[in-house]
Amino acid sequence: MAALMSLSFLYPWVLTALLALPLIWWLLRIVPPQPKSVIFPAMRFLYGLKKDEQSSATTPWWLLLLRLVIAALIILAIARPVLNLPEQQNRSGEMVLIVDDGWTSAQSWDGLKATLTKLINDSTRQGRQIFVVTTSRRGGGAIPSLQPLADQEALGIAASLEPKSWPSDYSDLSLLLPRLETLDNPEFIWLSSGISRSADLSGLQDFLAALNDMGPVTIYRQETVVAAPIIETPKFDGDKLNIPLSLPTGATNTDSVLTARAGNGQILASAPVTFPEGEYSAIVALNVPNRIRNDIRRLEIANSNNAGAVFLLDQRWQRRQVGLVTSDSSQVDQPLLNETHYLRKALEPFFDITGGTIEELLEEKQSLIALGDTANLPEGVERTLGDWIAKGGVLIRFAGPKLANSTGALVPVELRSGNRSLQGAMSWNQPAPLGPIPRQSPFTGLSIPKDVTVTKQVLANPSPDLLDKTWAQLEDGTPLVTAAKSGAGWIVLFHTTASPDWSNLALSGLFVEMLREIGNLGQYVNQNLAEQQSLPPFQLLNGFGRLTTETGVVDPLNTADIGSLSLNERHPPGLYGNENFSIAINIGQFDAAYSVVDMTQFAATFRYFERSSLVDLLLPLLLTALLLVMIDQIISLHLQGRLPALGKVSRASIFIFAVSFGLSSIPGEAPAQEANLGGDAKILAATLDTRLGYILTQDRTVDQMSHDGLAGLSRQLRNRTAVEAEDPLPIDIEQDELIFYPFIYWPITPDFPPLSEQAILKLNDYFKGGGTVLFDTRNQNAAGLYGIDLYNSPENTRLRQLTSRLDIPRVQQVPPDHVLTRAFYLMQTFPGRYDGGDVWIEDTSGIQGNDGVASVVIGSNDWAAAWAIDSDGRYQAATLPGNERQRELAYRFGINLVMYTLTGNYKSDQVHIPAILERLGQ
Amino acid sequence: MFKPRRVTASKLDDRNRAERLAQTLPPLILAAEHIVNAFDMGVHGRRRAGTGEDFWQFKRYGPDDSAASIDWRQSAKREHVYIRQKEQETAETVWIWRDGSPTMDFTSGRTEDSKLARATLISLALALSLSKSGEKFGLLGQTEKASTGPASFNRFVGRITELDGPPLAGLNTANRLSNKSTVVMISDFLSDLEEITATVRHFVNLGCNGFILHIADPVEVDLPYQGRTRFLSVANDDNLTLGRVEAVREEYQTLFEAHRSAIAKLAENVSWDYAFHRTDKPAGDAFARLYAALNIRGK
Repeated sequence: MAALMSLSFLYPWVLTALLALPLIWWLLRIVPPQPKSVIFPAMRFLYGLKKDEQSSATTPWWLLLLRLVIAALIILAIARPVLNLPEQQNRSGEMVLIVDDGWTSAQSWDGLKATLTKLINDSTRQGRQIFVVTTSRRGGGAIPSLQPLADQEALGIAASLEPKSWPSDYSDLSLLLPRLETLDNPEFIWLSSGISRSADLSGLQDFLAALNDMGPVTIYRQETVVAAPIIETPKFDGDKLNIPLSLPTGATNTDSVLTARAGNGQILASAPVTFPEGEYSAIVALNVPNRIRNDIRRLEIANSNNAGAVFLLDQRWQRRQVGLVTSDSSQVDQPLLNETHYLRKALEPFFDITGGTIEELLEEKQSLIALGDTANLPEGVERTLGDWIAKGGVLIRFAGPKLANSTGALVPVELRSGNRSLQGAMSWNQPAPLGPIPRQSPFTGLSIPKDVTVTKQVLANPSPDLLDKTWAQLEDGTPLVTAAKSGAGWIVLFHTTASPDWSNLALSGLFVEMLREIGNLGQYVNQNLAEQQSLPPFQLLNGFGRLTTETGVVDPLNTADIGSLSLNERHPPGLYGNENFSIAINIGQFDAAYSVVDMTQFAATFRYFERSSLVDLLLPLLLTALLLVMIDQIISLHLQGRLPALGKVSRASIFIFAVSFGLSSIPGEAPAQEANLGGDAKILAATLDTRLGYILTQDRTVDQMSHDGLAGLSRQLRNRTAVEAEDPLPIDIEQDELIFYPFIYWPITPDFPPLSEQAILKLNDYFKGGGTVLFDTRNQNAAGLYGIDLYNSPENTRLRQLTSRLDIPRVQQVPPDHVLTRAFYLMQTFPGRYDGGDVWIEDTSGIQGNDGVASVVIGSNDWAAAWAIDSDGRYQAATLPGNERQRELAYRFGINLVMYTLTGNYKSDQVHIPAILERLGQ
Repeated sequence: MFKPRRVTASKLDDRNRAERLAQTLPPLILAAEHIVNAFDMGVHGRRRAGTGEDFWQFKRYGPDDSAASIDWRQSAKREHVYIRQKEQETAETVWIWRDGSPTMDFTSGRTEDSKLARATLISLALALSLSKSGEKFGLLGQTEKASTGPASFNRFVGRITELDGPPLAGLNTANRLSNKSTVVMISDFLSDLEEITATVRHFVNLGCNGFILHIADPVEVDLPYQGRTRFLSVANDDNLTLGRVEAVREEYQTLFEAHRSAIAKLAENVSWDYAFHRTDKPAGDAFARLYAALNIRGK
């Protein structure tokens, strides 16, 4: 009933037309429906019927009712009924709408937008002037403006306004006051999100008070302020990701779930979020194993639709990269003596390692480089390395015999030449254990195992600041790890080796932890943040927490300003940079002290958002009427008996279906039935029987000829030899597998498409696997056109292009003693449809394996045409110059070739020579 | 959409119509042969004049029999003297009348054949069968005289497709019939009962036997229509609108049945055979009745 209560008509006077319904009833009653007509021979009996039955045809009462309903619906539709018409404000003055479109509105946007649309709809109907002021923080010195909006503009704004992903700021609204004072009889309406930072609220109270003097102020707000928690900057702690969450003070929260997603949206981890009553901050720990850590791109509160409940992670949260200098890779034979091996093992748990020379690593813009024992670096390298450190790079060096005798720079402290041996043959000193960690060291907090001892080290020259630079020391106070800040970066030196040569530190867990702590010094990204650079907006968060690529008026992000950034129109949260490197800016990185606005401090009328929007019932009513008209038509047809009998329809439609299916399934002129075999059926057909194959060209007639030719050859093979060859199969060189066919016939057409990389690999594999391809250019008849030599014919040109990338060794003309001349028949010429073309064959004399069978035979005699028979067994092409002997020889060549590919070179075996000689009559 | 098929005879000239009919002829003849063959395979023996097969019966010798006709060998075996009667050699003449009135050319669409086509088919089948058994046959009002043989059948075929034949009322004067002829009337008999009676009486008075094959389309029997329906006459421009056909269906069926049984009664009164045939039943059914009845006539 509530829905009916809010029903109202824009033109109620139209409803008087409903009074005409009885008239329509009467009219409909006296006009019966049109009868159906049938031809009927036995009229004489009909005339004999009693007449009183004949005039009783009237419209059935329910059909009358249906038609009356249609008429009533149309009348109602014309009266323009609408649902949820807002209560008449009866104000004629201008209306100023102040709309909160900061990110805090996103949670309650539906209600806000519905209310806004309704207000604008209503006031445009009443012809009032509308002003819309948005409150999201402007950037770049823009000030709020107050433009009168035309009706359509206002409706457009109502439809297109979206919450922004940065906060609202009310401090500059007071700039509007002089302009507002000029309005005539204004009314002010503030659609409030109800959540803000107290800092952003400054001046709002005064502003509203000033508005109150000019006209009535109404504040629309949520009934209860529901908000999703804001995700603040998360921190990795080992395998755990600690995520601080904060809830706007005073807001209610429903239990939700925090999820970590990969770039493709896959959920990598999730944890429930609950806030105890009265508490507004919490820390959620997500378990994130190392291997998925780099994949996390986004943390979000599930189903929150709110930019504050999303936190984008950039490379700074990923596993750290370290460059490991591995210039001399010659010692891989003995890894246990190689310091690179130990460094790798020690770095692996916490770093992604990239190996390479110093130059390569600098090229890749590593921020952390580990350098084993090295002597003096080349001067140029030393300079670029120094520059890199000054810009924020962290260099970790390890001592060793080379460093001990070098005089290079790039060490944190000045070193004495030579090393100190604690357990030499001439020394009574015991290996020294580690002493306490100095207080300024990042290693404080690491526990020192007792069994780590140092037998050799390089020593630092004493200096006043040596103690400050010492991060770890031996029991006797000599520094073991020293570090110095150089520019924005660090140089860290282990005074012992990274291998167990000088100390067993490299074998201890402490070593791993020390490297981890040093890793915290680096900026962890391939590009240094400290390097000043300007990053263009890449993907930005919208108010609902979704990434968009619309960048609008957004300014590039200057990496140096990240600390002092403030979120506004020019700098919304999102990713800045490019797809390889981007910096994420999130709401939670900034002051997250949001709270629910205490509305009681404002003097205004309060209303709650109304979700119910204005519903115009015109269209639904008209559509219903139309539907009923169609039903009425169907019923009328039925009453006249004009509806088709069901059986006939289905029979007809079945026929139509059958015909259309039949047409669609009529195969295109496929060369043979086998061509229609697909997938497994074809593979089975190819493998269960011995079959010859032919390569499909673009030309259907050529394909048909290839098929018929091989079919004819297969028939002769069955008749004359032990080869039980079945019908040949077509091969799509790009798609089909070749290895099933012992012999493939390949007619070359001038327009044969170039081979793909995959097809070339497949063919090379086929050749290696012992397959044989007969390339047939089929153009011996045209030899005269090209001056006897077919070299320049289009087919041969195409053949050269096709085979240029295949693994084909040297080819030769078939020598007189070749196996091909005696594999089954003794023959010296190889005619096909044409006679006289040379046959070239791969020279296998120097090749081991594959039983000496050539993988390539090339000719131009168009053999398939000579072999081809049609389904009735007739020859399809005349031989040229032509006699039956030539065709017989063509078959013999085919049989020889197939036997050759199947049996290999056994005929060349000397055992058969006497028999052959005898048959040759010598 | 269901719509009765109507062949508008008036719009085509006779030549066209004949050609159109002739086109349907080969399949008709084929169908006729099909039906006839089905009966040739049946229990009834062929009654052909053959060597020694014309024996009819042995009869006690009576005073009015010729002494020459005594079969001495049979008489010698028995107590009495018998004469050997032979089968009557003169074939009986069958005159077929296929009604060609406009009401015949109608099919409701629920059957394959129109009444006319069905009547023609049965006529052809009958003629073919008679031709094979050597009986004389003719088309009442259309062929000059009855004859038999393939040529006669061909003439019959030509006539039946070319011309409509005389209406029921014109049959009286159609042909000069010898007595002992058999008249086969195939029609829907949508005429006045008096007219039918008069025609039948005329033939009976001539001493003819007869067979009435009453053909009707199923819709004429059942009146299966629903709701408000306008009925258009086939013969003329008359039409009649009924409000609710289902309400009068029973009454209509009663009327139709009364007409049918009146014709059946008429046939019974004059000892003719009567068969009712709906076009949705196989043509073989009707032909079977006809075949049986004519055989029983003792040709």
